[in-house]
Amino acid sequence: MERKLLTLAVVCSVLAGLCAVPCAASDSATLTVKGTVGSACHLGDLSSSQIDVGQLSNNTDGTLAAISGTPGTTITGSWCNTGSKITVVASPLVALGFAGAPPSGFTKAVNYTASASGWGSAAVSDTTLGDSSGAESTSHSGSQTLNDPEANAITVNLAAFSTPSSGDRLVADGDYEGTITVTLATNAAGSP
Amino acid sequence: MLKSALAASAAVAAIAALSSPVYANNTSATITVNGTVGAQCSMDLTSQSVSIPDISDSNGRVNAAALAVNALSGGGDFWCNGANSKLTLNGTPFTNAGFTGTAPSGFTNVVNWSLSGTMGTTPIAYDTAHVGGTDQEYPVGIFDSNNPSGQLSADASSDRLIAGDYSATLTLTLTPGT
Repeated sequence: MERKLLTLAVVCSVLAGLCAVPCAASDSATLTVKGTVGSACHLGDLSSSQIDVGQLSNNTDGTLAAISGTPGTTITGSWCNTGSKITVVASPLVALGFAGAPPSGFTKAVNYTASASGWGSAAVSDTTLGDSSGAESTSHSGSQTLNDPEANAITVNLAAFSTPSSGDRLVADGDYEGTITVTLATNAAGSP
Repeated sequence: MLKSALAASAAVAAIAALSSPVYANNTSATITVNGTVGAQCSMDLTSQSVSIPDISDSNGRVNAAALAVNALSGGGDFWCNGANSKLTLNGTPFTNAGFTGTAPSGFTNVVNWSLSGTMGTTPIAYDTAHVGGTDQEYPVGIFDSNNPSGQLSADASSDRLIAGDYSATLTLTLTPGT
């Protein structure tokens, strides 16, 4: 009898032990989801891809006119999602229809300063350095770096028109032309 | 177990795709700037009178030395900015307008003259004996000439000059052209 009781107690102990462990065992795992955002800049749309300065010479003595009120152009919808660098490179207005070098006292080039404002607190500017034949012997540009992301409109304006030598007369030509290139690039030194 | 393996491989694929951004990180725009310069010409000289006290010599004939003057001596700055600019000359001989009728033999009331000079780098010439009263055109192009020279010389003649006031004209016209 005592033996039977002992056997029952052992069985109950075993059953009790089995009851402490669930019959259907659970499991868990943590899955990490990662993503990246690439550094990018986007230059938006130009309100106008052409700026017409109009008549460059005055009607009195043929020298450079006092040019003011030149219309600008705006680049809307530009952004960079990291630090950025904006660069402006301008080329002088040159008489396209005039071949060769102009006679002494004349010029086929008009210099100016192009500025881009709205990207960062300060405007970025570049001044052309054309000689009387329109050639530039020195490369030049204006640039500015921003450490933070930026999204803004950029306005491009022209000012400070000049001739290579003061008092130069401008050769007649119906098409003086120059270009301004604005570039936005990510700045590796800026914020990630 | 199979379902877990599929889910894990899908996540790895998604992560691999995210690590290759497709953005361009450089953008630029080019703006064209245009202007024009119209063709112009100008001369500081609008009207000039060259006075020669006596165009006859002691024998009553043309005083060539007295007529050897710079007809453009009062001129300042002459210039054109167009490659196809031109200068037109038109002159008349010295004439004694106060004398009417026919000059007696051995006398005359007309003195022809020639002009030679340079406008910019273009040689110019005019001879009233041959082209008096008609236009002579010279392609002067782009030039800037301060105080250009237009030297007069009287045509030689054995005739004596009839007394009176003699006058001649020379008209210069600069026409711009690109």
